[in-house]
Amino acid sequence: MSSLDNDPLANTLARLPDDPLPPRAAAAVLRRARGVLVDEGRPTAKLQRFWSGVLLPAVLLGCALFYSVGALQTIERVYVAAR
Amino acid sequence: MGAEDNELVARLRRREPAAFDDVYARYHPRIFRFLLRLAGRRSVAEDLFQDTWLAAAKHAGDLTEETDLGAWLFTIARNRFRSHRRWAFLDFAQRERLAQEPPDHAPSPDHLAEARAEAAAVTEAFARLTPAHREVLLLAVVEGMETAQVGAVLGLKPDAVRQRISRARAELAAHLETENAVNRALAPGGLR
Repeated sequence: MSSLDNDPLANTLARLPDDPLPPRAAAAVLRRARGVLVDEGRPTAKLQRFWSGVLLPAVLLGCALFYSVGALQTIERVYVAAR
Repeated sequence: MGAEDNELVARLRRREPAAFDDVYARYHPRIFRFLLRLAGRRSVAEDLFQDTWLAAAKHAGDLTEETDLGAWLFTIARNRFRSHRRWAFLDFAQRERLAQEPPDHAPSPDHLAEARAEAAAVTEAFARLTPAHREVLLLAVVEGMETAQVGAVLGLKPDAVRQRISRARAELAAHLETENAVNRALAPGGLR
């Protein structure tokens, strides 16, 4: 236990209102969390995380880079090389 | 950390749903109480509570054998609260609305005037603490966590935790003194 036992401050804070979550709401959260636990335990979950966390952002970044380089080259052709 | 918690951690690492149920049954009232008192608003606390347990379920497989289960769960809850505060700060419409609303547990002036209840004064004084002081008092005093555990949750060294507790106590005492003075003034026969 804490070294703050028998502390008047603990007694004071014990008077803070305690308004627990209704059992139905608590059960609903548990159900959703259990669903996540089971989903994350599937063998494909790591693959999905890798896809959405690493691969997809890398592909999107690559596309954006490719587009930017192409656009700059086009601008250069139109405005700079034409002079 | 107890042997029971060690066993729960081992089972959680294997993602056993029954272990998760046990952890939930053991910790969910404490986590909700912590979030409710930290956030001061029930609707916010309920959202953060759900986020906390979804995150715990998602990362249960990443636990290590040495993980302190209680500290881990309170850390998730606290991080959710901090993240909520950051986003709420950027949400100007919500900031304005929340600034006009009193916290859910704030007593009405009538209530203060007639009851002079110490509980109301404590609630009001506690709500006026900074979030950093609220969380350290909730963890160390209300939840009875050891200084090292509190440090693990807050990312502080034990000395810094002790220092923060001391400052939080002083701030709470000052607010309580103010609340009590207000209550005395509002009481029948006060301010005469």
